[in-house]
Amino acid sequence: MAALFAMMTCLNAAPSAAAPAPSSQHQGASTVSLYVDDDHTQVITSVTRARVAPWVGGSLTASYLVDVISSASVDVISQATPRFEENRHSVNVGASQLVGLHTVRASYGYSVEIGTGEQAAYRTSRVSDYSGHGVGLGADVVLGQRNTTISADYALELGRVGRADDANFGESLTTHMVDLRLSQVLSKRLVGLLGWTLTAQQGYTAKPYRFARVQEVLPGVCRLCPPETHPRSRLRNAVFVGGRQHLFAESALDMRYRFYFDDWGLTAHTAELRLLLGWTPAFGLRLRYRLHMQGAASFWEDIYQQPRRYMTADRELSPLNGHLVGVLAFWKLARWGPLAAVEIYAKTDAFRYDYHDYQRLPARMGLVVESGLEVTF
Amino acid sequence: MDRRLRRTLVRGVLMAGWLVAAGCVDNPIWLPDLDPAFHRCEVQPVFDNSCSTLACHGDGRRPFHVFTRNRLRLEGEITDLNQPLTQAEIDANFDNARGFASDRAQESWLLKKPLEPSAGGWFHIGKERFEGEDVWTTTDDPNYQVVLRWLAGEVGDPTCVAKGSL
Repeated sequence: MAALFAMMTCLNAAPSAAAPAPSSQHQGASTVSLYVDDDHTQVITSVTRARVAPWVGGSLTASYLVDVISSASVDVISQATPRFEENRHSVNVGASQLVGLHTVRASYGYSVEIGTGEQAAYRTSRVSDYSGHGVGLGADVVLGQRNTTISADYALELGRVGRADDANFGESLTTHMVDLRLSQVLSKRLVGLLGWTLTAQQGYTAKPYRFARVQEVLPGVCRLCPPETHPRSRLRNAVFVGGRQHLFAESALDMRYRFYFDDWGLTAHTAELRLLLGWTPAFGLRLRYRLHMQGAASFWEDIYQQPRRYMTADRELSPLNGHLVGVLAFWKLARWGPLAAVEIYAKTDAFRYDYHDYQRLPARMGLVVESGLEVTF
Repeated sequence: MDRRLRRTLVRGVLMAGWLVAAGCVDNPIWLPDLDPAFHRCEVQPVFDNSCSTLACHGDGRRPFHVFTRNRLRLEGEITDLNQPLTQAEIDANFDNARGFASDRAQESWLLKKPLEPSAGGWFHIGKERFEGEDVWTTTDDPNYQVVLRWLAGEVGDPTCVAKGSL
């Protein structure tokens, strides 16, 4: 899934027909972020991106992402497993072409997660936890005097779920994703957004490191703790509606609501409010708040009373609420030495998730700190 | 509102409601139907001897854990450690072992984990910790064959008495 999401991000980041036409300038960007939470998990992420415009209306993009994950989260240590380390690498390449007012794009991505699991103390894994190849195709169609943009993207990822240091364990996971978006200029100051994302997965949707719990017979000891078993298919839907209202100068208010539902019985509501504050194009702030509320998958139980056909230990399938607040500041400098433009930004997000039915971790709080640099030449 | 538009909207809402309502996974109570007598008298002694030390699967935090005399016990005082297994412990061992069975016997965790990777087994931390061979080096190992026979559905004598249970 990682490559797929990275690829969709890459696709959606491609120049939209509603945006100014792509220039013939080249760009390079780099970001570094640190994630830390009170569940003893740290992630350092580095992303490097490049975009070149070798011909009129065309652009080629490439990006490389590396995650360095270190975790001793409660669901790891409660199975007598020490801290685990994992590195994730993801490479994406893409191309887009402006055809009149419209844009077409294609991309390819590869991601691999190399974990050291419970054998962290012994050696680095030679076998990946997950690897996936993904391809994507998309287009933006601009209609009605540039007031309407319809975007459609399709992505396919062929993944292999493995286990660290285990050459004989391998399961397949195929993911299809369709993303449709409508952007409509409603007035001089208001743009409306509407979207639908359909994701279909087939294959091994569980994690080979997680074990369900059936009846607790001693503190921390379950009577029966089988490997988690999920249905081998999942159909996920997310619809969203939103709008962006221009306020003054370079300031705007961005509002979004997303409703998620899937055939595992999980439903979720996410609302996000973003306030973009800017008095000149050179400097700005973004403040945001996000609320997420979700129910449980129909087969979720923290501690099962009876063994079931499907049992999970994935706390993200449990009922939870999440709050996120964040601030971002950016600074743009036009024409700096040989460079056409330089932009730097820094952001901080703080979040809290409350798990209503997960005894081992009733709440998780954390912080994401990120900074980035983009140069245009 | 236009009738056609209203009808379309009603249909859309009904379809969305159906999709949400349909999101329910049929999830019956389930464990593989395997024989308790064969487990008690043939399989459990294999796990007792090969798996149940306190540093390994005699640690109750391990998903696959084994209740055994003088090691992990479900109840009682330290002076009771050498008492025969209680019925609750025998049942817990049986059920937990079934939880690691698979529809395809040879693909079961119970067989794959303790087997040498060169013979088709999966990674096993126990082998790494003790820097030795895995529990079973080949599928010809007699203990491997005992567990396989159980997973394949072999039935034991219901009146059998497990070694050391008296």
